[in-house]
Order: sequence, then C-alpha cells, then structure tokens
Amino acid sequence: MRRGQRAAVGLLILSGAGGCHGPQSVFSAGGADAIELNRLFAVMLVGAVILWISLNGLFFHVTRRRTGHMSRKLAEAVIIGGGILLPVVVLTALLAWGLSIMPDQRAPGEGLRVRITGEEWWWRVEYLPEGAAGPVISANELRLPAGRRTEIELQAGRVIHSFWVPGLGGKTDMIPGRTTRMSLEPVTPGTYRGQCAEFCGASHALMALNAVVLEEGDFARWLEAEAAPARPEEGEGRAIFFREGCGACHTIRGTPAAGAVGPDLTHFGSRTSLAAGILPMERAALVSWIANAGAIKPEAQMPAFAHLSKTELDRLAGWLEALE
Amino acid sequence: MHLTGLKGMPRRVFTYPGHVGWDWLNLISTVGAFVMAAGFLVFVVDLLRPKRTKIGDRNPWGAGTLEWSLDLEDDNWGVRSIPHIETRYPLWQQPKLVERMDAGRFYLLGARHYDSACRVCHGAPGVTQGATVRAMLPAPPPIGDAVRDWRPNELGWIVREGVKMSGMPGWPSARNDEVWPVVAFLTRVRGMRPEHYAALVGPATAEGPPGFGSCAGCHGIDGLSGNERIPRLDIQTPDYLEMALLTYRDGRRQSGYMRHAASAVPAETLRPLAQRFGRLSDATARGAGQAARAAGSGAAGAAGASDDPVEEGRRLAFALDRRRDLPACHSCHGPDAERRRPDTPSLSGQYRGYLETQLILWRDGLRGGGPRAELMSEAARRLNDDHIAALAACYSSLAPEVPAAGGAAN
Repeated sequence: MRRGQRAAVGLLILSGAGGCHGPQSVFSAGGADAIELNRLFAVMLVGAVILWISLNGLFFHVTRRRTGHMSRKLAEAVIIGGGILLPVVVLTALLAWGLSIMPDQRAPGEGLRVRITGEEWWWRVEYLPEGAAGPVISANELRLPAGRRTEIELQAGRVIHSFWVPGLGGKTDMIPGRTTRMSLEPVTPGTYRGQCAEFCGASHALMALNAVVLEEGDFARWLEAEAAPARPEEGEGRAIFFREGCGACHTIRGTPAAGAVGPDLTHFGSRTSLAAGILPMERAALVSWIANAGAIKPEAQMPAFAHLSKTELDRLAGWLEALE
Repeated sequence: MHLTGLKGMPRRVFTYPGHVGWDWLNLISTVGAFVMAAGFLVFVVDLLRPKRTKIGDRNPWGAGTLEWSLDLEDDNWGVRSIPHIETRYPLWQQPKLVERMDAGRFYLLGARHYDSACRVCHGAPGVTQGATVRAMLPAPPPIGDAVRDWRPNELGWIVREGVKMSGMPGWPSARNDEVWPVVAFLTRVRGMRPEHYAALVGPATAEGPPGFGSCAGCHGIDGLSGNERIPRLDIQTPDYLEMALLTYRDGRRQSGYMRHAASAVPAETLRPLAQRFGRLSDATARGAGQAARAAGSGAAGAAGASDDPVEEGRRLAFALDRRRDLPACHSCHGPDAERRRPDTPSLSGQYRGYLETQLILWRDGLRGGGPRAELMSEAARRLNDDHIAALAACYSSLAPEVPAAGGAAN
C-alpha cells in the first residue's frame, strides 16, 4: 500500500516534470545566457546526485556492511579528506566557475539598445538603434535579433517589477526612479514567453510578454516596418476610435492619436498577443478586452467601454487588428 | 515548486495560462499546501480544545528513571515521598518501588512523626486544634495553611530550624539528614483525606507491650520496616535494643525521630519493647536473611565483577588486605554472634541505605551511642565514601545471625 502510494506520487511528479520544455521554461533555452545557466544547473545537479549517492552509500557501508571499529587513521582521513578537503575543493571550483559566468551575463550589448519600462500591468518597449534620432516605440512584445547581444535598459513606472524571460536569460528587477540594465544574446529564433517576476499589484500574475527572436535580416526589416507610421484604414472603426477618445491614452503614429498613458498601438495588429501576453490576438478577445478590461485584468487602468454596441466594438476591434 | 520555478513560474501569482505546462506541478503544490494547512489546523485545534481530559498514562514509555514514577495529577511532586534509590534506573531495577512509594512507605516516617510530635499544635487532616493551642501567641497555623506558601526546600529549613520567637521548635537532633521524610509528608498533607491520614498514622497492631503498635507502625510488626531509612530490628539482641533506646532517650545517640519516640514514654516501658523486637527464632532469621540478601544482591550484582562493592567491603570488614589505617569491622560486629558484646549491634542483613547513613554519621562525628561509642568514632574516622558504600553493600548482603542466647535470656 505504502509502496504503491509512493510510486503513484513519484509518477505524478515525473509526469509533471516530464515535459520540462514549455514556452516559459528555463530548459527551453534559446539564449546564450540561459544555455550557460542550464549548464551550471546540470553540473550542479549531477554533482549533487553523485555526492548524495556516495554519502548514502558510505553511510550504508559503515552502518550495515562494515560495522566494526574504524582505525583512527582512517577515520581522520575520512573526516579531513571528505569533510574538509573535498568540500573546499569542490565548492571553490564551483564558485570560481560560477563567478566566471557572471561577467558574460552582464556584458554590454552591441549596437541596438532596448528600453523596457514596467507599467501597471504592461510593458513599454522602446528600441534605440545605433545612431537613430529617436526611439521606436512599441509595447507588450519584445523582438530581438539572433546572434547579437542586445543591451536592455530597465525602468519602472510606479511600482517595482522584474523582467524575466527564462528562455533567454536571468531576471533583473525594475525599480522606479532607477535604470537597471541587463543584456540578452538570443541564439535560436523563436518565441519565448516572459513574465513579471516581482509582485507589483493586483494583476501581477497577468503581466507577461512574448519575446520573439528573429534572424538578423528579418529583425532589421521588422524594425524598419515598426519605425514607420501606421497605415490606418478609413471607416467606422477609425471613427469610433477617435470619437471615444482612445487617442487620449494611446498613440497611433500617423494619426492624431498621440497619448502616452497606455501602450502604443501603431502596429498593434502585428503583435503575437493581447493585453500583455495574456490573450490571443483574436477578434473575440479584443472585443471583450475593450468592453471591460478590468474584468480580465483586475485594476487595469483602461476604462470599460461597455456602452459600445456589439457592432461598434466589432468594428473598432477590426480596425485595430488591421494596424499591422 | 522547485520544478515549477524551473519551468518559469514566478512567485505570488494567482493565475497562469494553460499552455505553459505548470498545471500538474501546481496541482501537487496546491495539494501539499492543503496538507500543510490541515497540519496547522490540527495544531490549532489541539491548542484550543478543552484540556480537562486525562492527559495520559503515568509512565507510558515504561521508562526507568525516577521522575516517571509520578502520577500526573500530583502538583507537588518534588519530594512527595523520598524513595531510597540504588541505581540510575530505579523503576527497572528496584521492583515494587512505585507501589511502595504510592503506599506512602517513604513518608510514613514523616507522617508518624508528625502525628506524634507536631499534631498537638498544628492539627492534622480530620484533627482540629484545641482552644488552648489556638490561644498561643503567635497561634500555630493549621497545617494546611502552614505549608501552603513554602517550597519543599523551605519547609526543610523550617522543620530543621524551627521559628524563632514562636512556639515552633527546631529539630530535636543535630542531624541534618532527617527532616526530609517529614517534608515529604508535609508536601502531601494539604487536601489529604482524614481516613487516609488515620490509616497512615494509626497503630500497626493492638498486640504486644504498650506502645508496640506505634513502634511497629514504622519498624514493622516483625521488625522489618522495608524502608532503608528505618533499620530492621529483628537482627539485634534485646539488650542492644534497650541500650539504643536509652541512648536515644537521653540524647547520647542522635535522631530526632527516635529521641522523640523514646522520650515520649516512661523509661521502664522500653525493655518490653526491646524484648518484643529483639526476639528472633532460627526460622525467621533464615527467611529474613534470604530476603535481605536478595535485596542486597540486586544492587550489588549491577556493579562490574572487577570492582564489586560487596567484595571490596568484605576485604575491608575482614581486614583481608591488612590495612594499617582501617580497623577490621568483623572483630566487633561479626558476623560472629559468639564474640559480639551485647552492646554492639549486629550488622549482617541490615539495610544497605541505613548502614551507609549511620557510617557517614559516625565518620562525620555526628553520631554517638552506648558506652563504647568512642571506639566506633575512632574506627570510622578515616572511612571515605567508597569504603562506606562497600561496607554497607557487604554487610547488607550477609545473612542475619541468630542473636547470642545469653543476650535474649528472658
């Protein structure tokens, strides 16, 4: 019975851990830093398992197999060798290695800088290419070129946050009034999910973003497109957007909407997620978000537009989706 | 949670998307959280539930050390009944110890002494103070009030020193070791039922010469007290016992209990009592001797063979090592009834604890006795604690002798 229960629990844990890979797993490493941290973890784990087995084997040996007296000399050798020398050597080696990894994790980036600001509860993302006059402003999605180390500047609006994309590297706190920095060197193109890792309020759990890693050429093309103004369609959707005053908070470059309170929507339709990584970029989700953002993300600052009719909401959502 | 963290879950989130692969792990963590909460709940329930229920058995683990002899209801357990301990694990190695403690054997001495010496002024359970006593200034408090505010060590001081400027006398002997059975009784006297008290202090028997019932209350009808503080009398001659009573009575021999007991009756009543206790037939000698041997051997057997105290005591008592500092006990005390003078006690089969106490008193100059007490004082002067323990072990292990016929002539 007991053994059966134990096996069941073990199986449960294995089934949970079995798929170690996931969009937000440190094991789905696609960045140079994450790969290095993974290696550190693997070495520590294997070492710990070896030490654990050796120590328990030793215990078993001296308590069950060879239970007699140990000579003083041997006992002292075990205590000094296994209790002092071995830990000193192993821990010193691990410390030296661990410390040697750290500077690489914080190496300065080349060329492009990205400034990410933690807001409640979304991400303001600004790209600052080398020699550019002003930033390319976006939100709630990070795009990075593969094979190059990008400098990341981190700021915070009102409260602390922490920026963490486990698949690309370690986490760094975002603190109001201070600029912290980190750098990421993506290796494998793909989409990696990140999430705020420091409690920042009611919707801390609902503050995520996708980090999309592109080949160098793709990235350059994308950045160029992102820097360009929007090409909004005419129509009822646009009319509703301006009639309802959305531009007071949101910017759509190329239109009169120039608010800076909420996320920039210039190329909104090209993003991979909605509402800071928590909803799919789909019409139905967008409609319910506009109708009542607070119901999806508690204490979100965007007011509810529940007074709009279904048709109006649908038109508005359709127009926004077309902002690519 | 460690694994969920590796899969990218941050702390302090109330929800997460379905596709990140945390669901099973988080479910396990949640179940664990509920299990922990249930554990805390058990603690809280235990904290809040009414506690008037019986806590548990007296010695649920069958432990061997003395503190496990307590019953849990007893609040005043420090010295409730001072047992004589011979080993580190008395509950294992001294059979019947707990029953004897429960029966009050170890504060019997104190209870009976109290009844005889203290009750007159302080009353007792079921015994009120007379008006004359209450007219004393200061009035002696009823015993329940008198003991209420004192800890056992303080009670010991009061019993030994008395209360100056009042009618409360000090202990009628120079000995410091005697008051504790009285203290043991005093820690139990509050709330003691009158019938329990009466059973403790009443005469052991209606037979025998006047006063015998009272003597036998402590010393036993057959002279075997079963208490290491109270010597067995059946191994002594009536002559010796009478001499001992007379020396107690006039203070040449020190004991607050015995001085009180022997002085409370006319001198001429002592002889019949000595004869009653000192009379000993061959049969009882043998039977009692085996019992004493069995009692002695239990403790003696516990020691290692190399430093067996019985053997060490034998070498001292019989001068087998021809020591120049310690006289041989056996030349006066036997075991050899033929050669022993009537004023010299027999030691064979005496209680080990009693022998130890008496030897320490002799050694420390606190004990006197009959006409030859000076000899014993001189002989005991150089004994150290190991010698005393060894001699007590040795003599308590020997079979009692039949007293010399001449001594018990009538």
